[in-house]
Order: sequence, then structure tokens, then C-alpha cells
Amino acid sequence: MKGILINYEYCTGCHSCEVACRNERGLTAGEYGIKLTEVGPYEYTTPIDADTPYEWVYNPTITKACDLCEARTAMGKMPSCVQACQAWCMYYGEVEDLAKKMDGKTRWALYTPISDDARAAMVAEREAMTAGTAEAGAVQVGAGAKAESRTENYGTWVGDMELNIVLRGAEKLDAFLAEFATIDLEAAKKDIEAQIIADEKATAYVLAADKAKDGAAHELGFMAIVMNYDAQGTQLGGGKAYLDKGQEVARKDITLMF
Amino acid sequence: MADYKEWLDELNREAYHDGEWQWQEGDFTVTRTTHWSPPGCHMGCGVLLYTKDNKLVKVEGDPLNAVANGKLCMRCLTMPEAVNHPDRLKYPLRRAGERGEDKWERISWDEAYDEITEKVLKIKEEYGSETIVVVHGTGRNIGWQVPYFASACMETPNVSTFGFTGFACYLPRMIGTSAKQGDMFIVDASQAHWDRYANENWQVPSVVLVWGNEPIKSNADGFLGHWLVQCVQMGSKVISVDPRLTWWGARAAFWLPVRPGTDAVVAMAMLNVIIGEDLYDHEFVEKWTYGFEALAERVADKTPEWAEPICEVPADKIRGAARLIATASSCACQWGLAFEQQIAALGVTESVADIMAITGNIDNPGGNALYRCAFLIEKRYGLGDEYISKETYAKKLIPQTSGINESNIVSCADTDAILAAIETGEPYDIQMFWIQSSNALSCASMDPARTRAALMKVPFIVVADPFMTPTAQALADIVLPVAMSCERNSCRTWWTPVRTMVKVTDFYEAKSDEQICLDLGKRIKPEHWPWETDEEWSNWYLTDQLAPGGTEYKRTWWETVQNPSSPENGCYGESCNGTAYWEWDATYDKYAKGMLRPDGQPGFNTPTGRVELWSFGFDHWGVDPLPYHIEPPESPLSTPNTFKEFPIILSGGGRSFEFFHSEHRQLPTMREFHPWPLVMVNPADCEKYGVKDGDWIWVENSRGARFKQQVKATIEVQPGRIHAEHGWWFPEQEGAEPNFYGTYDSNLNNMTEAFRVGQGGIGSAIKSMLCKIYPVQPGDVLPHDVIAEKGDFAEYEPGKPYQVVEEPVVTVIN
Repeated sequence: MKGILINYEYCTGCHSCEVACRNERGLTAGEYGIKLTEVGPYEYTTPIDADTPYEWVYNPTITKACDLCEARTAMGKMPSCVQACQAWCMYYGEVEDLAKKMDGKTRWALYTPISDDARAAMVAEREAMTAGTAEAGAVQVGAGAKAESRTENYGTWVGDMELNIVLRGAEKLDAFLAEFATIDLEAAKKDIEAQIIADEKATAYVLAADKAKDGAAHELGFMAIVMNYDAQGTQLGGGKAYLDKGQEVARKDITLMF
Repeated sequence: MADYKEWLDELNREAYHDGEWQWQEGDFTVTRTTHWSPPGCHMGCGVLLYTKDNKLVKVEGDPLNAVANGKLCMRCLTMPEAVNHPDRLKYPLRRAGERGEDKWERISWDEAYDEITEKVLKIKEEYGSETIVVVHGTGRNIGWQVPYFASACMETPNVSTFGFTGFACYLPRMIGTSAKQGDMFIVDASQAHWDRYANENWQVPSVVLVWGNEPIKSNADGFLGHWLVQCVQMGSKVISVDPRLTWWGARAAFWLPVRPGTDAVVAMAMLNVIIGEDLYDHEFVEKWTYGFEALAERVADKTPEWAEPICEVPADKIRGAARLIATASSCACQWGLAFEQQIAALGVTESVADIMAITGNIDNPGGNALYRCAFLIEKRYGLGDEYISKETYAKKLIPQTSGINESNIVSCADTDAILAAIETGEPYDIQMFWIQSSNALSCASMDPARTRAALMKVPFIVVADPFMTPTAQALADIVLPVAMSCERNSCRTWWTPVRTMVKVTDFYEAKSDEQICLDLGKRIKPEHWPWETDEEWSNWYLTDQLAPGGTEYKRTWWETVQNPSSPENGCYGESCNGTAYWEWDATYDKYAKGMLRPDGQPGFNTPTGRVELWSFGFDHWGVDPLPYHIEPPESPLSTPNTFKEFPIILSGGGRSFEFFHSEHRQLPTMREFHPWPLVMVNPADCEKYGVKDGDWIWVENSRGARFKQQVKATIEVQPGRIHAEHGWWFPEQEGAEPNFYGTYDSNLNNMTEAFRVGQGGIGSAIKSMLCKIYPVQPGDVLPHDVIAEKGDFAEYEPGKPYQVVEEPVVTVIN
């Protein structure tokens, strides 16, 4: 098993691992694959038998977004955090080899993030639960959990604006269209795009009467998350007013959960 | 990283395209180069630029480049945010309203150049070229380019980091060590060796003495602070002399929390211990120094017990630190800006240089190496001075009283003399300011309101910068858009190795500093600008530079860019990956080998051929040739009455990871990590003054100047002392007058002042001021409103310092 070893005695809190990781994983503001924790500075009044009376130490914590830079390491590169670490206190390798460096003279922490297999299983399980295929009280666990839920994940453009759309539980949309609609899935997607752009707070897809088999309007409820970005990838309306200077929306990431 | 060889062995060089300088990786073109400008930096680490469709998408460190081995700070890692920022200037702009109104019109480069050329030629003819002042900032591509431009295009000797009284940035340490040792010493963290920590001649410093700076955040003067973190992991012990508890102090064998502005007192007491306890290096002192007896006599009574009440460091700590320095097999001194940002600048410089000398820590492995800029490519200031007529050069603006300026050891003009010329018209009126990569109002200028008021009298001002800064907004008649690092071809030789930067993208009409200088140079003084491109000009800088036989460097700029590491092309080690190492810098004990003096004799490049503990240079300049201390103009000792009302000592200017001086304030990631300016206040003082972590407070001095920052409650500062940040402005705020992006409101420099300097016209007491603090209340009058209404916080006479509130009762201590 691979892991990351941190000789956190020497971490300087420079943030390079955090930012390098975001670059690699495409994480946005407020999200981390690795995040510093800081203890101190404070001065001990209790005798602790150490080199100095001061405690001031950083230790980066590896989050669930970390995949040990699977793509990079497959090419023979270092994980991005290890490569960028200015204090040069991070190591990547087999945990057995890394553990040998822990000498008891300074402080070390060995991290083993979620493995690829475990990650795949988690995704499958979550999708199964979302889709309702896992029986209540008897949630299947492990790699055997098979999702029947369908996710549509696609990109498109509206004029100059990029749209990235994720439809979770798309099988419910399929069933809804089959029951009520005269239009196909692609046409319905166009409808949904237009409706969600017109009203980002919409909570249902409205099938117009002229597109319905029975000549009456129908609704299929969903939960929508719409995130807007400017041309530089800065999230707009993300709670940081100083970033939001009336830039044009250049990209919308829309997630709909039926 | 305790084992560099192991790291090298495990490094997969192929994965990082060993042997290539540019390649395709998926959709991206990857380019191996180095970076520093802009955003600016004092370093030049190896980077891999990922570009696609003429756009910078990602930046990584280059593990094959030995400068930083792939390590990279967040300023480079977020470079795409800066390069692709929506606020970047895309086109040249001409002012369309009054100065400060934020009204601009887009013009073409030809229109801009035509107008500048016409005005420059007219000014030269009617008023003389000395009436043009050329200003540059720091860190960016300005070290040799702008001085050459000043000389060979503008023909003015008045080039300056304007607003920075007392040359209070590195220059005092440079001239101080040049005078005493003939060269400048730099901590030896193996940076001169291409094989770095694995070099067999190098030794890890036994002791790293970090004095008056936080190198992991500042990376000042061509030195990457994290190199020292590597040394610590390899066994170096730490001594920290700093009012603040830093990463170093928390890990130090000795932390000496000196009272700001009294470092020379600590240093003199250390000298007392080292000499008094006979711990000095007898062989080095006898063979290689001059004036030891005079030094011993000067410090004979400067015991740690004498020092303690002045510098507020316990005597036993001073004694312990001195003993550790003297008995260690090597001691590397990483000294910082605090040296010259106190009034005793040259006194503390010579004291600490003397500690290193008498303990034999000069040009020794793991000590303090004597570096020159790689391959002797060291013309920077003064480059092209020969193109200025003697008559014009004699009109360089220097203070009348300064011996250092009379000696012309400093190539740049004196900022206070420039300010006085503008305010008084003596010795002549200034007609034009050319400001390139300097945001003086937000950063360098002491007393920004006074600076702005003065510059409003200057008829023509051009600013070149990548962003609309407060300085450009408040003062410029024409603003020129400057290219970023990945949009330019250039090189740097500060100190070593040689580093090259190569252009991979464009941004609208932005041009590099080099290209702007070239374009205008060719229009105004074509005979001095024989080059067509920035590439040709860089070649000249690296290899020619007017010197007979050229420099010692034989590769072209393009060859340096393209020489990747590869055993086949014979440049695996000393010259690869956009860098070139120089054997001279990597050699130790150069003084014993006859490598320092022009006559080839052993010894140092000083009048006596030795390290001058009693300095002829200092004496000639009218500066005390032996260690001395001067109390700050306002301090608990010098102005006890003022201290009663202003009982807190204010330091400032400490760096943070997110920002380089006044840069980076518009980048989302930086403001996410560091949204507001922070003033450190000890928790005990928070309680005493009724403020808490996160509160905004006013910091105010005896002349009523104030600024506001947000409290960070921390024991990083001692009770009775606070520390504030510099360089703040708020690009998201209103840019027009009077707000100017809020640059006055949190500006520490509201409290600093021009015209008050140390011996020799060197040093300014900006890290040791007295203040009081109190909470910001809703409706408080903001500094920019005071300045808009009254001009400044207090009155002053043109060309004169502010009136002293209380005459100091203690000044020089020697």
C-alpha cells in the first residue's frame, strides 16, 4: 500500500501542498485534498522536557479528495503536494519503506488515503442508495453493490457560456418521459437547460402540455445545484463578495438530482 | 529531506522529460524555464509551464532544476490566476480626466510612444535630462533593464526606488560589507553548487543565525529561505535574533527577542563575549583582519549585562548565543531587512559582519560565502552610465551632507533629495517621472500622502505595470500594460546561477519591460539601442556588456534556455535547465587563493587587503568605523514622555506566503487564504487595550498619523510591541480619488517619514516606531478622508522633515 509520510516537525505552513493539490485535482475555493492544521504558537508553563518551551507546529491533513495523484504517480511523477512541498518534509512510497524513516527523534505522521478500490465501492454504494435500489435497512456494502441508477454527465454551450450538466437519477427522467412525453431525452435535456437557466431555483422539470401525450402539463421534481464561474474560473456568488465584481458568467456547473 | 542523494536516486528524471526544454503532454505544451517577473520575486526557481491555446493553465516546480528542486511557493502555483486575471491592463491608456478621476481612453502603442518621445525630447532640450526621474520597484525584471534605460534612453542619473528614505533595503548591508570585506557575504546553503547538498566540499552549517527576517516568507536578495529548512533537517542548530517569535525562534537553541531598533546592542555584547572569553578564531584574526585591537577596545565595556536593559534581551541568552556561534565549526548568518530599517543601520551591519569575521566564518563551507553575480555579469545599477554626460551626471540628486553619496558608491539617486527637489524646486524642478513596476504609493513610499502631493507637481508621469495600481490611478498620465513572466524573454544573474526566462504566451497588447525599454530607446536614443528584440538584448547582457572581452559567460541566452540536462550534450551538471552555475562562486577560501583582488594577490578586496574591523571606507564616509548603536528617534529611552502616551513599539513589513510586497492582492486564492491586513498584538495587550482577535484597530503615532488593520492575537509579538503588514491595497474597492483602492487606510507608511536617516544618510527607523492602539468605531474618519481634506496628517515645510515632537535624550551609544 502506498502512502504519504510527513516529517511535520519541519512543516513551515507555506500552503504549497494545498494549492498544488487544488491545481492537480481541480478543486475550488474552500476545498482541499490536503489541508494544514496549525497548533500554536504558545509557550508551555508545564515542564514537558523538550528542546524549546514553544509549541508551533503544522501538520497537513489529507482529505477524502486525495487519490495519491493516481495519474501522476502512474507516469512516475511525485504526487503534486510532495513535489511542491517547500519544507521538503513529505515523502511518497510504500508504507513499509516510509515507516522505516520514522526515527523517534522528530515528529512524523504517516497517511494512507482511501484506496482506489474503496473509492470505487463508495461511489457505487452512494449511487445505489440515491437511486433507491438498495433496500432500506439492508444496504449492500462492498464491491458487490451494483448501481442501477443512471447518471448523465455532459457539456454543452449556450452562446459563449459553457454548461456542464450532471443529471443524477436519469432513469427517473427516462420513465417520466416514457409515460407522459412525446419528445425524446435529447429534446427534454434542451428543455431542462432552458428552464434551469431561466430560473436557477427551479425545483421541477415542467413538461409543457404541447409535448405531452395527454395534452396536459406534467412535472418531475428535482433538486438543483447551480454554480457560476467567470472566465478565469472564479466562482461567483460563492460567499466572497470581494471576488464578485459583476463579471460575466462564463461557465455554469449544474447538478440535477431527480 | 535529510538525504539529498537518496532523493536524487529516487527521482524519475524521465517522467520529467530529462533532456528536453519543451514537450507535449496530452493537450498541453510544457515549457521548462524559470520565473520571477511579474508577479515579482527575488528568486528565480525552475518551473514547468503548462500552456494550451496561448493560455497559461498550470504551473509546477521543475524537479530537475537545482535551484529549488521542484519545490514551489503558492505565488508561482497560482500564477495562472495572475496571468489570466480579468483586471489586467490590456492596452496602453491615456488619462481622459483629471489625475485620480479614473477616466481613461485606450490608445495605441504608437500613440503612447509618440507622446512620450515628444515630451522626453522636449524636456531634455528645455530643462535638461536630469529633470527626468526613473523609478523602479523590486523583484521584477528591473534590476539591470531599468537602470540601463535611465542611462541610455533618458540620459538621467536620477534612477531610484523612489520613496524609500535612507536606502533602507539591502543596500546598507551591501555597501557595509563591501567596505569592510571587499565583497558581499551570503549564507552558504550550497546554492552555488550545481549538485547542491550532495557537493563534497560543502558542509551543512553547524549554526544558522537568523537575524531580523523570516526567510521562509521573504526569500530576499536572491536567497530562497527554505534552503535553510533543509539545513536544519541536516542538523544545523538555530539562533534567532528577532523581536518576533518566528518558525526559527520556536525551534531555536537561543531566541533573542530584541527590542526593535537595538540589534547593534545585542551584536556588540556578543562581540564582548567572544573577545572577552577568548573564543575568537585567532588564526583568521591574525592573518586576515585589520583593526582587531580597536574593535576589542570598543566592545570591552559592552557586556551582556550592559546590553540587557537597552535591548531587553536577558544577558545569559546573549552570552549563550555568542558562545554557540564562536564554538561551532561553522555559523551562517541569514541577516535581513531589519538591519537597515533602523536608524543605526551601518552600526548593526558592521557589528554582525565583525562577529562572522572574528569567528572565521567568511567564505567557509557552511558559513558565509563571498558571492559575485554569476560569471561576473554584475552590472546593474550604473549600467550605461557612460552615456550620461559628465555635466548631467554631476546633477545627480544626492544629499549635501552624505559622504557615501559623495563617494558615488551608490549609483542610484537619493529619494529624499528627489522629494526635496520636487517640493522646493531646488536645485531644479522635476519635469517627468517614469515609474516602471513600482507601486510606490502602496508600498515603498514613506508617507504616501506627501509623496502623492509632491508628484502632483510633476508635469508628466508614465507608469508601466500589469495592473491599474493606486500609483497609476493617482498619478499617471499614460499607463503602459506590462507582460507577465510567461510572456517575455529575459535573464537574471542575481547572484547565482544564471537564469533565463522564455516567452510562451501573449496577453492582448501587453509588452515586456525589456521590449518597452527597447522600443522607446530606439526612438529616443537609437545609437545606444542596437538590438531588435528582447532576446538580442539579453544576449548582450549575458555575454557582452561593453566590457573588453565581454563577460566570462560564453553561452547565448537561447542556448541557456535550450540546454536541458543530459549527459550527452555535456552539460548535465553546471549548466542545464535554463540555469548556469559558475565555478568561482562555488570555490571556498577565495581570499587565500588570490581570487578576490584585481592584483591577484591573496587577501580581500579592501584598502588593507584584510577584513577591516576598523573600516577605512566607513571612516572616509564620515561613519563611525567601529560598531555603534543609535536609539530610534522615538523610543522608550530616547523620548520617555512620548512613550507615556504612545507606549507600544510598532514594527512592520514582515512578509507573508501569499504576497510579494503590494502584489497579488487581486488573486482569489491569496485573498481566500489571507483576506485582510493583519496586525499582530500580544494577547496580554489585547486584554489591556480592550481589543480581540479579528477586531479592526487604529494604530496611531505622535504626529496623529494612523492606519487600521485587523488584530491577530498571538504571542508571535511580545507584550508592548505590535507588528503590522505593509503593501496593502484593495483592488476590489473604488479606484478613484480620494479612496485610491483603499491604499491609505491600512498603510503603515502613513507613520513613516522622509528626511530622517542614520549615519552616512543610510537607514531609516521604520521598524521601531512608537504608537498607541484603539478599536475602530463605526463612522470613524478614514485616512483617505483626512488626506483629501488636509493633505496629510500633520504639516511640514517643503524639503524638511516633520517637526520633532520630543527631542531625543539618548542618541548614539558607542
